[in-house]
Amino acid sequence: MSRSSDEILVALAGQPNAGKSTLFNALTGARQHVANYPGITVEKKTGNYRFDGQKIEVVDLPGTYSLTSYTQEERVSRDFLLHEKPAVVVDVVDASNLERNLYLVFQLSEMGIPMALALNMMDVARQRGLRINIEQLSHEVGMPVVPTIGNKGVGIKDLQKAIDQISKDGSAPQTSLRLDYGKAIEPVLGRLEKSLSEDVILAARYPLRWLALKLMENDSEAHRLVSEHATNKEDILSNVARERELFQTEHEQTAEQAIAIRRYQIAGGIVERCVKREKKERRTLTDRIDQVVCDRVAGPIFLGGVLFLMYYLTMKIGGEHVAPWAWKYWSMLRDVIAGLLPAEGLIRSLLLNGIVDGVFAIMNYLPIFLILFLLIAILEDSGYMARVAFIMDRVLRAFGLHGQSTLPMILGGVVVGGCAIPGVMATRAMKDQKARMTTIMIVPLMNCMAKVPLYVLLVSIFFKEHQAVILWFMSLITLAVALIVASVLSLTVLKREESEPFILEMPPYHLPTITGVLRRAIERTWLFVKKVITIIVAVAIVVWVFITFPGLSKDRAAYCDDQVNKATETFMKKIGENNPYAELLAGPGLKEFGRYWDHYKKKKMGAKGKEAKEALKEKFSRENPEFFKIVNKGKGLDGEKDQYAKAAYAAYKKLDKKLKRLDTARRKEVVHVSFAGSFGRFLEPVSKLAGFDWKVNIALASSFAAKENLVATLGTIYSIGEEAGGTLADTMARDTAETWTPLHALALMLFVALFPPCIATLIMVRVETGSTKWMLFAAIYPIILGFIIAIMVFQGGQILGLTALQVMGFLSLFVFAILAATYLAGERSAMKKHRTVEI
Amino acid sequence: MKQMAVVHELYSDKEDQQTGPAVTPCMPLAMACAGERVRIVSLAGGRGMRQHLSSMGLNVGSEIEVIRRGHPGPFLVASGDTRLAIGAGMAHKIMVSPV
Repeated sequence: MSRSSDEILVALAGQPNAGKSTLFNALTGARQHVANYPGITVEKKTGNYRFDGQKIEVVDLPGTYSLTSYTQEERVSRDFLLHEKPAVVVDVVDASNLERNLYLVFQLSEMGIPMALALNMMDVARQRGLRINIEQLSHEVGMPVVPTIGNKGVGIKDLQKAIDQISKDGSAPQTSLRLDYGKAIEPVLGRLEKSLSEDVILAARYPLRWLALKLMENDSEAHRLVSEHATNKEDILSNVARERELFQTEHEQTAEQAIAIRRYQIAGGIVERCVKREKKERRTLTDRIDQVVCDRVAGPIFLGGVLFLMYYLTMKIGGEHVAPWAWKYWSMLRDVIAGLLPAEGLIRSLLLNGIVDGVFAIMNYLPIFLILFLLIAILEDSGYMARVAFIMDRVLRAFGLHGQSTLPMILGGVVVGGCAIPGVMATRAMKDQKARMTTIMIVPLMNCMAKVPLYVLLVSIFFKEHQAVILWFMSLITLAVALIVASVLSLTVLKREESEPFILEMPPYHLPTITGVLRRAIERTWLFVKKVITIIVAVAIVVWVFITFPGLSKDRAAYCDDQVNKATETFMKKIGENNPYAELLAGPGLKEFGRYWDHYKKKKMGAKGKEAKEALKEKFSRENPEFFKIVNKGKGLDGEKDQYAKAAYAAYKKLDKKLKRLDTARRKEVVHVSFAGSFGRFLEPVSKLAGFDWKVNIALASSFAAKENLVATLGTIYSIGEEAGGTLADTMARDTAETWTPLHALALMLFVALFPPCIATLIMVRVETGSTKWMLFAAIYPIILGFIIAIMVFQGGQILGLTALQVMGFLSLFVFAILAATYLAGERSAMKKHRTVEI
Repeated sequence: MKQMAVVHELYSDKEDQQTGPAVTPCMPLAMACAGERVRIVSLAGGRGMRQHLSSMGLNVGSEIEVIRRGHPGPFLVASGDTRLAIGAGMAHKIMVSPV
């Protein structure tokens, strides 16, 4: 981190659910920056504000319950405080939950950095009838205490003033809070501290009392610090081991237990002296809501309602109204960019077809994501997300997953329409490594938004009467398969990963604030966009190479060029030599006219109403009156008819069709002979088993980059040219009429549903698991699984002579039977584990 | 803060502590009834896990109330003003005695 010497660095620490982020936002306003701590996936948020002309840089440390080395977040926070040495640490404390929060206050204060307490959520505390004596508390903890209400901005100025005060008194004795660990521990600490102080390097670098405490707590990081920096590390560490052993035999409990108990004892004492409970309200509003929301029967029903609402708002409202509306603007932007690119050649093809189209394909989903992230932020800020984990844990646990797997799965698209990338990213919040890995592996099996267009395409061709049924079947069957896969993975390849018992704080319900929700949603969307764009750009280039090279052979290329030349010649002949426009349309003029023609046609399609059309005509006429006469079927702006121009119009219309047909044919041929094409044909003998021909293979290969490519590539391969007209569904229906049955379509849909994640997701898997091995695993197992199921469906259906719907029925029975068996087996093994513990 | 006073006794009075756990009837949290108030007697699990539980307010000596029983699914307990969901597996490893 680079900061100039006149900046003051302030760290914001606090336990989860203490309102730290809200307070951070209130302190720094919009001047924020989000990054990751180097090498790990913990987010690092920084922001700044000015006070009295002084620039204050604030770092929002991750929320942690304590400062041991238990979680990555704890290590990050601790390392930051140790090595970056902020001028002030502000501990954000939940006023309604003071006792537990003091635990972290004590640990922070032991690190010897000047501190202030932000006593946050004062309103909640007041509602609960708690009266806190601020002065007394400040006296007891030996640091300034500022009451705040983060989401209403109350107390922010006071907090800034307190920070300013502390940073100016930097030379004054650091925090005067010194916990008395009692007659059992204090002497040991004294002895250790003394022996540590003999080591010059350690003494200069770290607060020794803190180090002594951490060593007694047997903290692995403290051990590391000593063995890295101390000169006589063997002596110190063996000394610590001896002291710990001695303590344990003498007191019949470990030193860390004694230390923790003592901390709570002191915290309890402070709370007793500083907090008065005015009314004894045993059942808070939160408890009453939980009575319903966490109920065995009502809870899941309520959750189902919430999920349906989410699905409705994102897919129905977002997908069918907002996204098409936004797409108008995206496509305008795309056209502007296309206009800026070089007119022709490979570079244009790479930039436009590869990168720009790839990025815009994702941009199309952006409004949907924004809505999804907004809804999720509301669920999180209100406190309901923890209840979702609570309710779902019971079901998911049987499959080796975790209550917290729910959010990643929703993002991945449980109810058709998500994206695996944010899904995989969302697993960060999970502490249970085993469940986290399992979740990462199955999230890509959900139905992401890019898979949906293929479903819709195939369903509209082959299952016209049963559209809704098929789509529901797809989402249920993929969910069932994902759960089975999860339990198989967690029992086999992920068996050794560290598992952790489920323990989760259920924060009291809050009314989310608009700014808080907006900020979080926009932040996440932006993070997603940045990730996707960088990945897509890299991936698009690779894929473009695969479907473009080695390109046509010289002979074929010459043949294609020849065809184009012939068409042009025919065109010139048709308009005749004495046509005054012939010269204008010869050579480079023809290309220029082609662009003018396309541009005009496009604008004309977009123009609505008479006035707009007139304005358009005027504009184009001004740009080039001769060209305009031709494109306007021989009529000039003044209405004067020109026979020659009309002839040119008719001839060019034919030529345009011909050229487009030639271009499509050429592109088809390029794909055919490309690396991807050879690959597709190479695989055909095997893929035939599942009913896929080489064309489908190419489309599947190209969808590896991004699933959107699937339909687009099919479009390139199946499009027969302009004159056929109609949508891709029509042309495909015509093209596949003889060779394809609904069974083909069903096998393909199932394969695509389980098909490997796109490269962007795989890279995300690599980032989140930190392992290339797991990334490859996530790429390969779905191919095998998907292929087996596709073959089962296709061959089974053919041999038994069943219709696609019958096959679907049998497959559902089969899969759900396995699912039920897996669930019961999972439940039983959990019960068995409990029993052994009891005995 | 009655519960802290109790802890204090447990901690400072060693004789009491030696006889304490053996005499008090204890059971896994998983066996407690809904609405029952219990005191934590011991926490199983690794050292890291115990410290983590400690920092979340579940300590040897803490008094908690079972709000909702699991089976299947997690238990919901109140520790002071904090509500915690505890997995059924964990609930079998936390030994408690009724208050």
